Amino acid sequence: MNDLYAAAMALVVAGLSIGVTLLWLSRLSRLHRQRMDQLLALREQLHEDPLGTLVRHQHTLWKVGLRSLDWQGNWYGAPVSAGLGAKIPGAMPTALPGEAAHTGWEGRQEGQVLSQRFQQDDISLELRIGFKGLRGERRLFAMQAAELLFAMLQGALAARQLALVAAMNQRARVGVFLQHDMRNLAQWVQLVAEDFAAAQGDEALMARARRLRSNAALAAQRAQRITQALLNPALLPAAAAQSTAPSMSPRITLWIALDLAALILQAGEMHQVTIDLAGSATVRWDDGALATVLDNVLGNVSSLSRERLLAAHCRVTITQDEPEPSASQVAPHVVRVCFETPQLPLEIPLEKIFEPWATSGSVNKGLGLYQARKQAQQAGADLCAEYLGLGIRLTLRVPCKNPDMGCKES
Amino acid sequence: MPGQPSVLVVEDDASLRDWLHGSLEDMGYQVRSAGSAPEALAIARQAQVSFELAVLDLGLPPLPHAPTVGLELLRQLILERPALKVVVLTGQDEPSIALTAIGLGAFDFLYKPASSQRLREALERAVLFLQAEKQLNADGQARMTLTAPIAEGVREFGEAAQERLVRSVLAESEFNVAQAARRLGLSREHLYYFMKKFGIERAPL
Repeated sequence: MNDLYAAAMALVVAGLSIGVTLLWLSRLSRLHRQRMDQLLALREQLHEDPLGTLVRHQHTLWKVGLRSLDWQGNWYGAPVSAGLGAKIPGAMPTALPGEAAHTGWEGRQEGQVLSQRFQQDDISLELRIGFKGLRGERRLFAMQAAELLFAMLQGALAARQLALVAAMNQRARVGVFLQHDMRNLAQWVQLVAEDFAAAQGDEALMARARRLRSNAALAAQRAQRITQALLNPALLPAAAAQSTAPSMSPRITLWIALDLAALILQAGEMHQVTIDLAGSATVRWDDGALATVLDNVLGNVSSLSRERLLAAHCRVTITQDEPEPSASQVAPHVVRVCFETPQLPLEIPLEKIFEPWATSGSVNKGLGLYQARKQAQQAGADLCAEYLGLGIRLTLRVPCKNPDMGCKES
Repeated sequence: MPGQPSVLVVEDDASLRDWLHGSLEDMGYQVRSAGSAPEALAIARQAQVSFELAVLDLGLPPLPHAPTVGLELLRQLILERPALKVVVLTGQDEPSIALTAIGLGAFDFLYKPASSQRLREALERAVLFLQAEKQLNADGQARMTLTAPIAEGVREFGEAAQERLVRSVLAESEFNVAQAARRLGLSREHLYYFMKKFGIERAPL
């Protein structure tokens, strides 16, 4: 009887244990699902600002069971690294020399660490998630959350890259369209001006004025077309896109002697920015890259100054860094061009200034400085930023063998 | 004004085309204008319409931002009218495009915006060459510029020269085969053989 009672008690205890366990597991899974939903809710924010979102929402990551996270790599041309939570032991794995960078992601698990490498055009990141101290179902849930986080990050990075390519293509389309129309417009203006200037006598002048009157409607139509292209690039004919070389395709460049001072003053005049210039240099460099840098840097100064009702003013200094004495004889000199706008408040964090879509203006798309730095780097130079007063100093460093400081290169 | 050199302006920008038309008339040229390649070719194929010069924009519809259509039109125009002097006036400022255009037979290449002085000088040079070529022609000589790959050898070059000569003599004699054969020192049958070989057909009237 006693045996039967003991057996029944054992069954009841076992049943209760199973019941409690099931209840506990059910509560745990419900909790886990809720937390995974919270993690999934970060998707939109990850698209906007992947690394910033990880920092701002680390409590969500800890809630889903993660304990530590760190990353290191290159983010749109700038080195980045950060660690959240407990320090993950071991060195961050780096790409082997000669290992081809390819778009995509690769994951691996080593002991207590799950790591993932993300590679996009301008982004190369190694992310690690540590699982030290996690066991059983907690570890399982944390692994699942880590995999979901990696997938979300990959999706966000791919979506950003696609959007960036689309935006750059549209920008190129507008550029090509405007180049065609602006050249025609310039040709028209030149002919009209010269014809009027050459008119001798009232009769010739009247004949040209009559011609201008009959031409006015056509000229007005063209002006409208240009304005439309500027305001709504999506309305540009699709044929323009077909004829446009994608911005990411390799360019054939011919390095020519560039008179930096003259070109900076010319760009300033074009953007109606007063340039306070010190120094001069003639360097052999990619004229297209320089044009992109000047156009975007001074274009930003112009548009942001006008939005803030400030005078459009930029201090520019051209100097030369001597090569290090220990360096070999072929080591290049570096010509440094600093664009300083201490009066123009910078409204975005400095580290984001070269990121696509990072803008403090309401008109700018935030692609200009990204494109300027990318093109400068592709041509062997660099563009970097530092705080100066309320605003910034942008420095273009152009390596060249024999810069001619102060006079034109022969 | 009869006797004045005539110019075909091919430009897709209507206001610029219109102004160019007026400016060239002021310079003393007889002007025809076209806004697209088919329109220009239709004019070129009208035997009764004479023009010795052309001002050609390379960026033409349907691809106004690429030189493709303009370069093809240049090739066709030179084929239709071998003596035509084409001054390219374009916004396509890639050196390779200038090279291609000159290879196809363009007489001069101007980047937009070009001053009216430069345009006037280019056209005056073209007129000078036209007159000199007409004089040479009257003396029984033909001046021609050929572009052919050297690697394909002397024979290919010779063929290109033959075709060019036959085309230009036929064009000058307004497709009068008997007259062209006489000028070339060939029998009519022999000239027909060359016409067939090079695919030369009289444009529909």
